[in-house]
Amino acid sequence: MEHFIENVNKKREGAWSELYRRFYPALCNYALKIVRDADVAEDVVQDCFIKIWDSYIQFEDVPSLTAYLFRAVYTRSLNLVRDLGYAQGLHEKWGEKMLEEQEEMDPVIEIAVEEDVVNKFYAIIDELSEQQREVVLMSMDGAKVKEIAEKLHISENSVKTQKKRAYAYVRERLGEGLGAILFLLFS
Amino acid sequence: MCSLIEKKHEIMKDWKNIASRSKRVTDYLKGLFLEEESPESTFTGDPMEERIVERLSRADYLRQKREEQRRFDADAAFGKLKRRNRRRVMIRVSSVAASAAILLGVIWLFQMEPESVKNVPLTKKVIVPGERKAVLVLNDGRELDLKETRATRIETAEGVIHIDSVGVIRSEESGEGVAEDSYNKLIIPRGGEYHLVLSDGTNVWLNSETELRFPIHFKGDTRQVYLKGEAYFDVKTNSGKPFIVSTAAGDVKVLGTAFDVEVYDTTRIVATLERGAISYVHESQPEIVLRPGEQLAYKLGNDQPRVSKVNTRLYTAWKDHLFCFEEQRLSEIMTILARWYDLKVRFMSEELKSVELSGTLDKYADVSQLLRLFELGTNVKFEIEGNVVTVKKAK
Repeated sequence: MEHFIENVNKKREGAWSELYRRFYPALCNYALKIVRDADVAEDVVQDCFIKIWDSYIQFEDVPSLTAYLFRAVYTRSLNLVRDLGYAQGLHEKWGEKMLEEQEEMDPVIEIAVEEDVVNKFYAIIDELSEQQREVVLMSMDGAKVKEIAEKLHISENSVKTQKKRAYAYVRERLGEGLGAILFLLFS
Repeated sequence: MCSLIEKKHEIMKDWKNIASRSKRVTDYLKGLFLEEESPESTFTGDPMEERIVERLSRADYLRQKREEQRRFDADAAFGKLKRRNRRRVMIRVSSVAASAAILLGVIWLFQMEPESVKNVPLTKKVIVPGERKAVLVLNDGRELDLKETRATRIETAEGVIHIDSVGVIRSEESGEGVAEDSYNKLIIPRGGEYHLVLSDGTNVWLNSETELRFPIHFKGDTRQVYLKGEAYFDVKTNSGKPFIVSTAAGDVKVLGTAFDVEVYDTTRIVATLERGAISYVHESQPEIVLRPGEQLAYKLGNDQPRVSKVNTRLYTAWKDHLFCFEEQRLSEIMTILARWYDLKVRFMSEELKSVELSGTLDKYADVSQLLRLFELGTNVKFEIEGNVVTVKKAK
């Protein structure tokens, strides 16, 4: 984990590719709630990443990196909305007072956590081979082994094997937090 | 006043807690969705975490969130950042010299014999990834260990060698002309890598176990360097002075481009061209010109070099601190890992060598982590003792 941070600090491409995978979709969706436009949201997030790349910021650990990213995206989105003079999105939904009263910061954090969880969870599931991913996603939706086997035209036994391996892999990867390894596909 | 400061402090802390909250929620979901028989566990977090868990526990909500996020392509966004960085580098380089820089890659692939691993002293107890390190041997016999060296300036008879703080060597010719090329040698040990900028502006990335002989400045009609091992060249165009990488298995002549060359085995060469044009010249063989995306493979003694289309990324990823494999045999993967982590590898059965894996891995990761990942998806088991890795079949 420290290894990942070190490589992010050193601007190594491998770590940065991972950084994008693990945060970019979450941050964009987070910004979208404030700026209400997908292209603007992407610009906001990309600008935040570029700012880090061009700076000498050194992150200590994953929690401070996470905090920095969400906070930067939040602030930038809010400033943009203010500058453009429209009060909508999060702003509208949670009410103006959120900006003044600290107690109302809660939803801002809550949504950040939710986006972060979804992103991390699926970033790892996306590393699986196509078949393993299908098996996992269908299982999560509550499909039985028999149904999955029929739908994917494979034996029930191989559904079980794929599921076991895929679960082991995802559990392991989720367990290590932000790992140093990128991804690996099984033939 | 005091309470305001306190409150401000609280906000800071809240941002900081996103990661730990996210981890607790993820751990819960992991138990819920990824255990064979999901235990009826109740989540006892704080109210905020409870609310998130409640929402995300519903498969349809989770899927909807995923669809929302999937609209944003992380790899494409990262690609944009990389292209932006590359453009900036190009601008800087071309302002230094008037000529244009073109990228070109050639690779020497080879099958390392197990015997060649044998003579590595097995003294290291802990396996660590490689690092930026090299020894510079000047033509006057002086030797410099570049691992610890900070920014340094070395005066030689022919010119000045700068080594900057990030380890880039830059050579510069002195004003007065010198009669002939005098070559320095850069040696990269196992577990090392290095980046060098030659006096003509050509960039060279050197892989582990590699030796490059280069002059401080290029006299004569050609720019010639000598290579053993593997290197990626980004050659500064100068049509009046072709760039030649000389190896024991033939020469690669750069016709204006950038390339990666691997020559670990002195009898087999594999050259992969990323962009531009290069040609291969060896003794009586007719000159062979490669086009971008093509790879030349030639074993000395065989009739003819073989030229084929390849995914060049697989052969050049190492210079970007990555291992990139596509249905590659475990025996070849282990050879590459052995060179970088300075390992000795033993296969307990022949069939294990032909297990195939694909993926992109971080070169700076811990080797035991990489191997554990290999184990998860295959029926292979790795045992590490000292710096010896034994490959077995899983029970």
